[in-house]
Amino acid sequence: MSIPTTIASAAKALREGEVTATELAQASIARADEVDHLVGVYITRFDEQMLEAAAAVDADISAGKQIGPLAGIPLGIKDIITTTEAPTTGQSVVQDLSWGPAIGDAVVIRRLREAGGLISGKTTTMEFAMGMPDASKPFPICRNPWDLDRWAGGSSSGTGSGVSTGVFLGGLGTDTGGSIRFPSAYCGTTGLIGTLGRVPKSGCLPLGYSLDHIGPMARSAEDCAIMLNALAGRDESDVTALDVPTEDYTAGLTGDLTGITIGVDIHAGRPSADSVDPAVDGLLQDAIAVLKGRGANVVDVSVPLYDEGTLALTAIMAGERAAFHMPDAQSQLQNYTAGFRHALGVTTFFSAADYVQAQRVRRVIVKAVNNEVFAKVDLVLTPTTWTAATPLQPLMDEPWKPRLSINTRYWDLTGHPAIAVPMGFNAEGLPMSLQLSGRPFAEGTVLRAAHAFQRDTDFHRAVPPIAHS
Amino acid sequence: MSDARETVVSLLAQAGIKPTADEIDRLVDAYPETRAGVESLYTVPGVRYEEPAVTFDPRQV
Repeated sequence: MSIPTTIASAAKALREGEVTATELAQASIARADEVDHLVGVYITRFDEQMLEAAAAVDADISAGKQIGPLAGIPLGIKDIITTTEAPTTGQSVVQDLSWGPAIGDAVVIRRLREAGGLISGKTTTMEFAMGMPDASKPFPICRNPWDLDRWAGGSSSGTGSGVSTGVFLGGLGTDTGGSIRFPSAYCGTTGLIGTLGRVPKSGCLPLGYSLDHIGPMARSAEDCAIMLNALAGRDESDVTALDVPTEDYTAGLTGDLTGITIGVDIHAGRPSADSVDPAVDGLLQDAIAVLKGRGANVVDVSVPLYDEGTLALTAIMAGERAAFHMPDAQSQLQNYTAGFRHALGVTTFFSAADYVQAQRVRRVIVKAVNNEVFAKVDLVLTPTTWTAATPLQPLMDEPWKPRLSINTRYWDLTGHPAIAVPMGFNAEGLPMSLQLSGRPFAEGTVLRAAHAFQRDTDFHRAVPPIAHS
Repeated sequence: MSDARETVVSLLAQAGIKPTADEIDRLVDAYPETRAGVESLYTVPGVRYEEPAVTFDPRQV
């Protein structure tokens, strides 16, 4: 029996009787047994609970009951989002383990279960979604499945590596500066942030109160659309969730981009040449040709105030992070990882006025990008990152040094939806990724373009050699 | 003591955070560039009379 490798194909196979939910769950467990100790996907596995839930799905199917769109699909959950199976660690010995059980399932988890999803376990992250891997702490180091000496990216590390290796078919990450999109880029998978406020973030440990997104990570845009259908929509428990009607995010996945205009910006945020992989520009040009072949009109654009946006996000995150962590920083600083300790020290450099000023700059930038860019184009295309996955050891040796050439922070600041999509491989065989960003609440258009690209390419189907069996 | 070191030590003390000596050295190294970035936010055009992107609904219960 061949186990399907996407949510869409698994859901189809399940309904056609080609596979059972129990078989999908067993395959997930078997794959985890093969690769988890190498890659560090999980902090906690829920094998028994997942098998019980799978058996319930199979019983419903046998009884002729209607099943949800994610029925029988193994999913991984970043361990800063609370689930009932186990306390949430935040990948930190500082975390108050009574927090999660006091809430139970986060809203997003409840929605995934209502759609029939199987929660396979809690995946590795960075400490509180920001601290670099630290071998001195009792948590797995999350390695890149394409090269174990490289990082999977973060902070949605284990969800990215778990999807890439087929341990599960989809999962949840969070994204405050890029933490869904750049692990997706590094691991060769697809990851989406919706518009800020599209998916409720209650039941999630905060990194940036006005920046945090919860979103789907999966092998394909189609799979992300299926997950977003379950996740999207206001919930009163989240004061930042916006009351905007949802839609069927799979409805626009026709493969046709006629009438869509895509603006390309290869200059915004571009680092010096020695920090740009030689493969990036060629792969992006190949991607443009694919999108044009699907009917898109492609033009050049210039994303406004890009550097200012990165600085504003830094200041905003510093203040919001500090508010949450200050009591623990004062009482148990040395229990944090080295990288997070440095970040907590840096938060003291910012004043209250700096935070407010950054939020004022933010509003100017949002207006500018909507008026100057999205008035003319439907989507903006950029590389997700300027390099492939970074070597792991330097990050662990000196976590306070900035080493990431990522192109994601701007859209967390502005709140626009954005997706990371595999676009090929560099000379070392490491995945490279493109990013498509859209107008507020135009997740359907973002997914439509990503899906159209994936109709003509196979990069999102590639599986790292350690996961071949 | 340099101005940056004096400032960083003071900020950490005010916040009640106690890093190690090596960690303080790294924070002192990071301070000038970080502050330069923050200061540049005050020169972004068009911001002078803009509202911050933080709001709340006073009807919230």
